[in-house]
Amino acid sequence: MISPDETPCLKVENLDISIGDTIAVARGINLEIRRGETVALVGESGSGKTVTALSLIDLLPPPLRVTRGTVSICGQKITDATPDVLNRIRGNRVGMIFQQPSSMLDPSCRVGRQVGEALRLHKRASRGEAFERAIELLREVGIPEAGRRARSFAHQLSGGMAQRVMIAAALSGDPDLLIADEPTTALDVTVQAQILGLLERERKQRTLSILLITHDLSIVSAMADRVVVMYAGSIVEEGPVAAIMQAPQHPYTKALIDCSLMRKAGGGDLESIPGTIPSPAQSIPGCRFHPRCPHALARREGSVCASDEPTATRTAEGHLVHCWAAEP
Amino acid sequence: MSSAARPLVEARNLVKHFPLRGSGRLAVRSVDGVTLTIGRAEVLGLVGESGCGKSTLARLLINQIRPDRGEVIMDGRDLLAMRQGELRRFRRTVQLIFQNPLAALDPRMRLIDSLMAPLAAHDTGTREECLEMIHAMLGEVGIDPGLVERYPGQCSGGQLQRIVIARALLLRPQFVVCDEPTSSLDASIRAQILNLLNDLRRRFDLSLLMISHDLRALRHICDRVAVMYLGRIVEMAPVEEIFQSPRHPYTRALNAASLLDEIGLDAAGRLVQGEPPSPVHPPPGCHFHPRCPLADETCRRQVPALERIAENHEVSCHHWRTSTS
Repeated sequence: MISPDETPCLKVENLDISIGDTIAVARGINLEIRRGETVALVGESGSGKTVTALSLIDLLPPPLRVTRGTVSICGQKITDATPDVLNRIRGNRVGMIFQQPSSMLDPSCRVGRQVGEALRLHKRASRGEAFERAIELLREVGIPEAGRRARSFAHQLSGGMAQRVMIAAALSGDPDLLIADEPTTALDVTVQAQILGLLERERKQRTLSILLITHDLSIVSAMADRVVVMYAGSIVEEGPVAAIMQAPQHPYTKALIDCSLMRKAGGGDLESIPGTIPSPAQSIPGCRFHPRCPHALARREGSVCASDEPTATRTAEGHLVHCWAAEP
Repeated sequence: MSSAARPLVEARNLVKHFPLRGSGRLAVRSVDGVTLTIGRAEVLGLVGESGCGKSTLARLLINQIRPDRGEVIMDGRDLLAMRQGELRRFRRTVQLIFQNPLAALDPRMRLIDSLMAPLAAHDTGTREECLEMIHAMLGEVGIDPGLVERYPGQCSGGQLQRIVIARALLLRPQFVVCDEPTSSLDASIRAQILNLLNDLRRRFDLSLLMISHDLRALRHICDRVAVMYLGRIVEMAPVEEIFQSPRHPYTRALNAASLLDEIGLDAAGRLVQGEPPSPVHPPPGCHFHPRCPLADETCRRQVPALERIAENHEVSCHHWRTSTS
């Protein structure tokens, strides 16, 4: 077990992200990932998962920006870091993979060179060394005939192969933290398990920490140690994967699990959540989920849910619930 | 056969190859000999990975494209022999619902005008009568009539998909093809739309073809499921049999992919290797053999026939008996 006083690989405190100064897309985000741990950030589109991930390595596209809070990676503060420091962290400490591997790879550059690029920039490797090392990395991520494949272009690869190349590139700087934003969503379903299995193997071998962003809860159960659930820009619940999946406390988490897994055989209606996810521009006082919440408290006249933002309640060790109805 | 017992849609040995330009005789073999039926008020699921020919098959069934070989019988009539006038009447009775509702609606038209278009095209009545029909249908799909004065960009994905469903049902079709109708929607909205489709298909006695790459999205709504791989149907059975006793190794792999949490990554990864090959150069014999854990010499040489192994259950695998162990 990891000692609790060890510096976490990622620490996010009270992070707010806004469009301009007015529209908050993520608020009060607290996140911690220990060494070798996989944390899944779960939520529907518009919940703020991707902007949170981008903010971790200062890649938010304007007009999105961090308006409050701090991010530290391996004890080093990212917020307010100079561009030099940031670049060093991006190459050496953090690797990132995205949903669409084919659109993240440079179409005019051989994949071996792309995988070796970080080595040339960050490890001062020569062109030849970087290419050799790239072939090793491609072999490690399960690309057959890696020597030949290193000379192909992105469009000559299948989706699964392109994602393996992305993973090789992300691992090339030997990072401590891997941010994987929907890494298998664009892949064929039978290829998903292979790519997730690869990530899992690399995590064990390298003691990587992984921040896995996904909307697919069956992937969460298979991969994560801890789960953080976001709704409309706020964290609503977080805890160990078994506790979240088997005994969710927040009404949104419960509903999301029910309607995501679709386990129900024919007949009867599937569980669903009435209404739609609010846009960041919509101001909702109190708990952002209260207009859709099935809990009786949320519906009561003058209820606290409609007036005050819920504080975190610790329902078990490491299990936090942001809901007025939660009991410690 | 009496018309009540006869299926609404019958496809026999459908073949559609798309020639690759400038490459001589090479072609994308999208649909490679498909035979299936869809009964009246039946919902058939069609599952497979991208590029396996699901959407091409759907377009063949509704005569959007013509097959190279094979025939489609719709309601007892040969679709390919229909003349102009008959085709026009036929088109009223089939409708399509696509994955991305935002792309299915003209961004510069108010929703009400998009809803009006099919009614006008088929001379369904005066503007007032049409408006009345539209309002009634909006009630069925749970959309506030005030919303249709907006443009598509001003609505959520869930609302737009309801509008698209309403538009498809306005002409009272018998047969609706839903091509990944919930794939672009969030989990909470997806369940709403699946419930709605399930409800409407009962109310209007619809025959549906539900296309999806995700078996889970089919379980709730389908009566039967056809599994497609590289242009061929590899297994077809009642929906619960597909989930509980799949016979084809590919069906088992798809099943495992949707149950990663229960089966685990390693076990799911072992059920299938590699990635789908190109439909331009499909492997000889059983198309699935290069990825199949059960493949042997026979599979490499002989195309397995679609064999009836039980009432309503067909499978195309040389080893279907061993594949459930």
